[in-house]
Parts: sequence; C-alpha cells; structure tokens
Amino acid sequence: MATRSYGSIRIVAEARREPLIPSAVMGMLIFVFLEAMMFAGLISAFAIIRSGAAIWPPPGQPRLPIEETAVNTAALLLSGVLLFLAHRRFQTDRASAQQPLIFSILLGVFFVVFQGVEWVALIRQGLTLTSSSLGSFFYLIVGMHALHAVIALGLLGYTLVRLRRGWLAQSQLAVAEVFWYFVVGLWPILYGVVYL
Amino acid sequence: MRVLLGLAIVAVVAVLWPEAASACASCIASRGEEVATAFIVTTGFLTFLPLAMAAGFFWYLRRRLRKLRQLAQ
Repeated sequence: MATRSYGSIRIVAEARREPLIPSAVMGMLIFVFLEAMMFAGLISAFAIIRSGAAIWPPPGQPRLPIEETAVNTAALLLSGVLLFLAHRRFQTDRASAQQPLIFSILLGVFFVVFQGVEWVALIRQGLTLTSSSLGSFFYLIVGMHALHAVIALGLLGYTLVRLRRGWLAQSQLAVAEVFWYFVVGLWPILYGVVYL
Repeated sequence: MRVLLGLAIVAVVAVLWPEAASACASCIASRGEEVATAFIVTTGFLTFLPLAMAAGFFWYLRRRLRKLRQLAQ
C-alpha cells in the first residue's frame, strides 16, 4: 500500500504486482503439457506396433501421401510464423495485427480442409479405422491432431473477433498463441513418425 | 544388517540384469530385438519428456523473472 500527500489531498494506492505468468496462460500451458503427454503415449504405442511388423505399411494398405502432406505441413508452419508476426505487431500497433492473424487462420483452415480431402481419398483406397493397425493409428493420431487444430482455430477466431472490437488483452492473445504453437509444433513430429 | 545387505544385492541384480530378475516387462513381452529397442526408446521418451517440459518451463520463468526485475529497476 503506497500513500502520497498533495496538499490536503491524500492519495492511497495499492501497489499491484504483475504476475509472472497470467493465470489464463498458465492454465493453457498445463493443458498443453497434458496433451503433449497424451500424444507422446500415442506415438510410443505406434512406434512399438510398427517395429513389430514384418512389412510396413501392412499388405493391401495404400501408401500415405507424403508429398502432398509436406505441402500441407509447410502451410501450417507458415501459419505459425504469421501468428508470431501478429504477436509482434500487437505489441506496437494493435490494429496492424489483424492482417497476419487473418492469414494465419486461413492457412490453418486450409490445413484442416486439406486433411479432410486426404482422408476421403485414403478411405476410398481402403485405409479405414479397422482395416489395419496402420489405419487405426493413422486416424487416431492424425484425427486427434485435427481435432486440436479445429479447437485452436475456434480460439484464434474468437481472438480475432476480440481484436477487431478492441477488447483483446495481451494475455488472451498469448493463450491462443500457446495452443496454436502446440498444434503447429506437434505436426512435423507426427508427420515424421506416421508418414515417413 | 545381513538382511539389508541381501536386499541391496537383490536390488542391484534386479537393476543391472532385469531379464534375469524378470523385472523388465518390455524385455519379456517383446518379440525380437527391434521391438525390445522400441520399448526401451519409448520408455526413455515418456520418462524424459515431462522432465524436459518442466525444465523448459522453469527456464522460461527464470528468464521472465529477470526481465521483470530489469524493468522494475
């Protein structure tokens, strides 16, 4: 508590300390840690099943689209870069953060839609959830990631709305960033483990 | 004292030769060397990932604390 006197007026102000990490960001970090462990478990299970298989991919199963997904991976990584740019701009001129944020969301949407198209093609070729261990793990791991991507895109969309209305706080942007960077950072690992 | 010494020897044997002590589930359950290697690698991965994440988090906290202190000065 700090007090200061200006003539007959006495001002009493409570000294507020800035938290080391905003509570919302801390909550998101804990959530992301938990999700990282869940994906680590899935990756481990997949690695053990794959190492035990004599032939991989299992006979009669299609080859995963490596080249097309590489393009999709690049789009997702670019989306992460654009979000970082939005963060930098937000610190200096809030309004200028809109453009990179919009493009970041659009690239994220492109990634999810492209994945959907890829899934339809793979199902037509015979790779289903029950066709083989590859199919089971592919749809489980990639599907879980896609689910996270969709939820993160919703959060980014909400962040954009708040930014446009001028209500966005730094910590709210940071929450969306943590989740999106997790989705973006995890994907190259999944691509390397599942596709390659 | 002898009992303690005996227990210590058993513990050392279990740690150094898990297969002899049937104490390594992954060594016994795995079929072939590749699967055993995968079990060991993934066990290491799952053990060290949370430690690495916690270390990264504390490193970030320390960096942020330093920054805030510099701003306060």
